Parts: sequence; C-alpha cells; structure tokens
Amino acid sequence: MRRPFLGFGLGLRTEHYSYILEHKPAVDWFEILSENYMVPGGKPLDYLDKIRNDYPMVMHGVSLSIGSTDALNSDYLKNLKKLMRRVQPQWISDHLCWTGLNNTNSHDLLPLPYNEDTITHVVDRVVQVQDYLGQRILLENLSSYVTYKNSEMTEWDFVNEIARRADCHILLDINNIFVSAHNHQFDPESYLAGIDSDRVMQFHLAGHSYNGEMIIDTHDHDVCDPVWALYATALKRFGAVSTMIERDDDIPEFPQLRQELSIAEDIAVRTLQADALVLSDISPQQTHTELNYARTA
Amino acid sequence: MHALRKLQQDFLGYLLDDTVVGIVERIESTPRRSAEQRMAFYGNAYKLRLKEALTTDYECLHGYLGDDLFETLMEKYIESYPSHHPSLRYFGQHIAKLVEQQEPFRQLPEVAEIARIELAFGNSFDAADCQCASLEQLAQLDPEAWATLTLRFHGAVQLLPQQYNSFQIWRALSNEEAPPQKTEDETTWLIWRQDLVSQYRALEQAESVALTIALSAGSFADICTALLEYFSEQETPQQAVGYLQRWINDQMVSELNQDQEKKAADCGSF
Ligand SMILES: [Fe+2]
Repeated sequence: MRRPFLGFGLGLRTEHYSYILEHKPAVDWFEILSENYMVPGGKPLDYLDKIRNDYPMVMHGVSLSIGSTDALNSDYLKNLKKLMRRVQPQWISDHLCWTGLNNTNSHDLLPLPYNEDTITHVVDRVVQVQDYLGQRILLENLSSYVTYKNSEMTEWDFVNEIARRADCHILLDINNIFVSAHNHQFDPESYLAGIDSDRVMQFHLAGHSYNGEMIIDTHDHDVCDPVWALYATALKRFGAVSTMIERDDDIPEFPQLRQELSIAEDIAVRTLQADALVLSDISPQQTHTELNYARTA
Repeated sequence: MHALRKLQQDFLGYLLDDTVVGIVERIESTPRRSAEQRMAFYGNAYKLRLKEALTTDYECLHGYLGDDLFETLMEKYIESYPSHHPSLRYFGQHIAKLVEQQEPFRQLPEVAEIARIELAFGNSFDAADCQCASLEQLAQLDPEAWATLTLRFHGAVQLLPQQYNSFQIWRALSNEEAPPQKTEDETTWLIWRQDLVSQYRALEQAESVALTIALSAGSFADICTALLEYFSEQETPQQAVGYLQRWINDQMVSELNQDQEKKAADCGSF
C-alpha cells in the first residue's frame, strides 16, 4: 500500500488564528481538535472555515470514548459527522482509550486493559463508528501511567489486533510511545517493530515533562532529542508518514513552532529517499480514497 | 465486557471520590511507583483539568473571589456537578446555581450575577450564526401586518436583570482594574453579538420591558400596550418603532414574522 502522505502539519490553536490568516505560513496541513468546533456558531467556526480555505485539515477528537462500556454517544457522533461534512478532513482520528462512564466525562484519556475482552468490545464499536461515518478512522496510542493486572498482551499487540480486526488505521504518537516506555519499562523500539506498517497513517510528535520518576505527557515543551531519535527510527520502519507536532500549553509564537516542524522535515529528508516524500495529490475538497470505507460484511 | 465495565466503574469512582479505592488493587505496582501513586496521578489530573476549564471561563469571578475562595468554589463545583458533556466548553455552566445555593457564596448575591455575566458572554461567543433581518424588510412591511408582527432573535441575545452593580464590577475586573464596592442597582443589561463580537449595554426600563415581551414572542401591539406605562399614546408607536430599528441595526433580530399562522407553526423558535 502507498499510504497518502500529507507532509508536515501543526495543531491549529486559537493563539495562532490571526497569524495564519495574515501570513499564510508554509505548513502542509493543520490538525484541528474536533470538540473545539462542535459549537453552534460564532468565531470558532468562522476562523475554521477561513483557514480551511487555505489548508488541508485532519480532525482529531478526544471524546469518542471508543473503549467505554457506555453505549456510543449518538449525539456526539451526529455532531462529529456534521463537522466532518463542513471541514471535509483528510481523515478523522481519536484515541484508543475510554473517557467516561454513566454519561459522566472525565475529560481524560484513560487506558484500557489489554486483553481479548477489550479487543472484542472495542472492535465492535469501531465498526459501528466507521459504518456511521462512512469512512475508516485512525486510533491513537496513549501515554499511560498505570498497567492493569488483567492485561494479557503488549500494548503494540493490542493496538495491532484492534486495527486489523476493525479495519481501521493507526495514529502513532511517537512521544506517547516514549512516555509509556519509560513509565512501564518497555523498549520503545520493540513497540515500533511490533506495529503493522500498513495500518499507520499519521504520526504525532510532542514534548513532555519529567517529574523525577514518571514522564508526563504535557505537550508544553519542545520535542526532546530522544523523541526525535525515535521519530527517525519510526521513519525507517514505516517510510513517509504524515507528521505533526502537538502543542497545547506554553504555546510559542507561530514562527517558533514552524521552526520546530522543520526539524521533523530535516530528519525525514535525511532518513528517507526523496521520492518517498512527494506529497499525495489531494485536492483540499477531497477526502483521500484510502479512507473510503465500505464494509464487506 | 462485564469485567471491563466493573473496572471502569471503579476507575471513575476513584476520580469522582478518591476515598473509593477499589481500582487500586487492579493496578500493578512497580519499584518506580506504587499503584496508589499511579492512580493519584489520574486523580490529580482529573481535578486539574476541570479547574483549568473553570478558571478560563470565570476569570472575573476568580478575580472577585480571590484565589482561596475561588478554589473552594471549584472544589465544591467539581464535586456537585460532574461533566456530562463531551466538551469542557459546557462544564462550568451551572456555577451560578451552585453559588446561589451553597455557603458561603449565597451570602454574596452579586457573585451569582457576575457568574451569569461571564456565562452569558460565553454563550454569546459561539451562539448559532443566522441571517439578520434588515431595516429594508421592516420598511417593506404591510401596514396591516404591524400589529401582529413578532420577532425572532439571534441566539446571542440575552437579558440579564441585575440587583447589584455587578456589571460595573465585572467590567473593572475584565479591564484588570480594582472593582467598585458592591451597591444595589436594579438594572437590566443586554448582551448581543454584532459582526461576531459580543456587545453589552444597560437598558432603560421601557426598552427592557419591550425587549422582554419581544423575546417571548409578544407582538408589536403587545409591546405598544406595555409601553403606554412609560410614554404618551402619541409617543408610544414611535418609541416602539425606534426600539425595533435599533435591535435590527445591532444585528439582534434574525426574522420579522408577520404571519400569525406561521408563527404558531414556528412555536418554540424564540
Ligand atoms: Fe497525540
């Protein structure tokens, strides 16, 4: 499979709206946080539409709660689909986690136990979501701070198995692998080696903080050198994968963030053949066909 | 799935009340960190995230109460009103209710008013967009239709009846100035949105009465009747038309509705 390659993107943040509209900086694409635009109207949607006119976008959510044992939230899915029609994103992603129960939202990305029961449960829900949206979704690996006693496999086997059985894609967060590897004492390179290349559609990069014992996924620092090194390993393993930097706190001026993104570009140029980095021909109004989804059940 | 549900119940139970520790025995301890310490990390993160949302949404309330009292308020709120919405945007919407009900805040009636002001600006910020009615449309109305004319308003339009000078307090705090002393001041304030920017102003009593009627689908004739309390029979229609024109000019009105039957079918549109 030749996966679609969007190039190098950034997370769209309100702090940068006016800069982007004024300067139209050279960024291949933006990732939006879906929930920020699931509002009735006003400035958020106005800015979104204007910036969408100039850039391809992908949608990234935090509240799908694909692993919750509550029923899927149909209002949420309805709003997600409405936003999807408006944005026409290249793809939609969320996290391989649960966020709430009994209609109470923790607003956190909570880990799941890695076992057959969870896989069956999650796969069934991913299939429902993809049927409803009419396209494949991407699920992202978490950074986590606990291991459940009833986990029966590695995280990467868990991620792969769900992607394979649900026929969905993987958003691989390189920083999250690094964070969880430290917190749970596994080898991050084994993680990369264990992930099915065909399923990987996007990378996240981000900064974290270290509290002396655990690494916390805070998105408030620059990407650190060991994560850049892991990114290079990931590129060698998977080839060109659309890459973006997530920054959610202590957000620097746009040019500084853009500068950090060129580090990712430089690493990719050094690591991969030039022809691997040719951008896919995607018109801004069109979702890539790789995401088209018709279940052959 | 039964086992997974139980695990999630225990996990969420701990987040909502960290004395409920059933989850801890399901977590591996490691030399690096015990299960308790690992869960405490999630417990702290849960509260911090919600507090961050409240602090963002209620900046002036925070400024007015000061750090300690605002911290108490957030703790009580997180305990009493867990989030039932996929977006943090809507988490803080009941805070005025809590302020009115719980000590020590219920002793401070202006606090709920300040909370409602900040909530109203939040609602106005991302209220649904709509086409605005124009003065031309008003001018083109059939003279016969005026009596039964009703208005549909933009979702950002909100009336805030206040008993205290809370708006002045809010305004000072949002300009990072020292707030004035609390005084009684019965005034109705209007919040609306024009060209995507929220606006506010104090209303004269007559306009506030007229707008209250218009917002609850009262007709132009109803408005005029009520305005007779404030103006002579001669002045009244002109005053009422003046209000309508201003509301339309300010992009507050989305639709002029001159058809009674249509209005009935549209019930609930206000
Ligand atoms: Fe991520």
